[in-house]
Amino acid sequence: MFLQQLVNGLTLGSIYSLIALGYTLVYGILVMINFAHSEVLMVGSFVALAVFRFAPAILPQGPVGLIVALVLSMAGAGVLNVVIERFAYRPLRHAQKLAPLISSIGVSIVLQNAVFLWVSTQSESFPELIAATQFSIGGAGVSSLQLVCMASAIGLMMGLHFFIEHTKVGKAMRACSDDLETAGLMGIDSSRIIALTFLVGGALGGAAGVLYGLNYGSIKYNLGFLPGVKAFTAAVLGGIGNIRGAVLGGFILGIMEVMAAGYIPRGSDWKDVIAFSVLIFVLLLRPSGILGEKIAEKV
Amino acid sequence: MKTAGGGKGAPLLEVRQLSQHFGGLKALDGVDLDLSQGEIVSVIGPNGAGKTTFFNVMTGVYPGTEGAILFNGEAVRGLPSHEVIRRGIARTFQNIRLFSNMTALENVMVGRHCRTRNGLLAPLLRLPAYYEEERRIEAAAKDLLGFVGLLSFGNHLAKNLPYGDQRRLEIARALATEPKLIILDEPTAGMNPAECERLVELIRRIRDRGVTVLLIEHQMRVVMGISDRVVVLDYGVKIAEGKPLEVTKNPRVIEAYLGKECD
Repeated sequence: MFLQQLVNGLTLGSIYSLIALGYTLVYGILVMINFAHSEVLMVGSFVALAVFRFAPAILPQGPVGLIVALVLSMAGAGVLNVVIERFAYRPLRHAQKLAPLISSIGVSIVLQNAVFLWVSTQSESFPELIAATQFSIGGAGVSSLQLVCMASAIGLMMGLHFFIEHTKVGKAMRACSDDLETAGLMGIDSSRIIALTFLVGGALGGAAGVLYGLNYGSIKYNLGFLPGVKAFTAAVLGGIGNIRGAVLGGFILGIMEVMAAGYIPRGSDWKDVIAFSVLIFVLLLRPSGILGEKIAEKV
Repeated sequence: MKTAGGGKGAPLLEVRQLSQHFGGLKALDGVDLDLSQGEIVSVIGPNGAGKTTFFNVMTGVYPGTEGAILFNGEAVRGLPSHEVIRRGIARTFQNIRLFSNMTALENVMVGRHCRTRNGLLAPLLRLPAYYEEERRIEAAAKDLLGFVGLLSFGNHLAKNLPYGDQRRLEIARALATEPKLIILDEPTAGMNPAECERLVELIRRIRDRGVTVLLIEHQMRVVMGISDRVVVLDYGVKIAEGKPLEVTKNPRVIEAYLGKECD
């Protein structure tokens, strides 16, 4: 039972982590919460669906189809996120802090309604890119979908780690998130790096959208909301702005939720209550999150 | 090196009637300044005289209200910071502003950013050319760490370095952008006399690399010892300019500034 719930929790956690990274990357650099991120995730899953509807030939069942779907959704969601930044946030960069926040809520509503009006008001079944088979590992049932989900998420996180830590552009991103103005004064085109951050964060969200669709089998115009809120919570739990924190927070939240559902009577009704209670408790003890740093006030 | 308008004898930097107004406050009011290649020039003045504002306009932090800044004959006022840096003006800060969560070496490597290609494809495809360039950047950054005497601290996080070392790391990071002009905002602030001494020597060695130096400095001993020329600002206006000794004898300067501090 425990092992079973752990596997389920890790699967859910890997999706939360991917989404949480999108929130934390943007927050790290602009100190802004991109509420439209949950819709970027949703659009990402619809990109895969659209490709499947209009060109099923390029999405064969199996690893190739999965990779193609991931790549296309990531590209679509990444570009969408860049466009959102360009038109909804950049003009407000020097406005008061609340303005881009409100703008992101607006974008979120626009995207949700656009998909609702022009694409579908119903749940749409998601292509079965991977055949669902069950394995048994140490008594716990693991489906191929769960394995694919965890493996893809972990692969992407490793890719992100390499990109941030070991490439020049990644260094520039870290410099910008440390101090945007100084980065500009050291010759970094910060607008470009901000756009790139949105591209990367959006792409991770798009991948999460595909994995979500794969796991739940169907997608809907409002699917982004709940995982979005949870992943945002995860990012805060881990320490918003901190990349490792987002991953850690995502897994903690995913595991906690699933454990609550498994061990507490009528737990699945209570799982959100428990998850958020833990969040409140952690924040009372560590207001900046598990891995977040206390930021000294600049003098 | 770009030579457009920067032929022999022509000044490296020409500032003409530069003003920066904040509402009714004239933080800078019609300042002129010429710098020739290889000079060390100090800007002094009482607190609030507009020194840091001057540096901020020069490096694109503020747009400036009026006037012109010609660098190598090219107008740079109002350009975004990263474009100014690309043209060869680098700076350090009064309050140290290192990338505190990056190592000393990484801080300097970031300074190379504007001098290298930054495509996304090469690192993702792990092309050999990418690693080659990465190695060159690291080698250049290590050179600069050695130049400021911090080679053995390359792997330390910037925020964990002692104060004086952080100042020198900022200089190394600025030099990594390959400036023709480096602007140092109170480089000796908070330093003890021995550290000051080392910094003065470092500034001379920077000049010997062919980099022109413009600094804001409060310690008169440093100013007198190092400057080819001194410019005095007061209430946003240039009230004097000349050799260090001339300036200290200028009655307006004594009145505005040195009168309180002259020892």
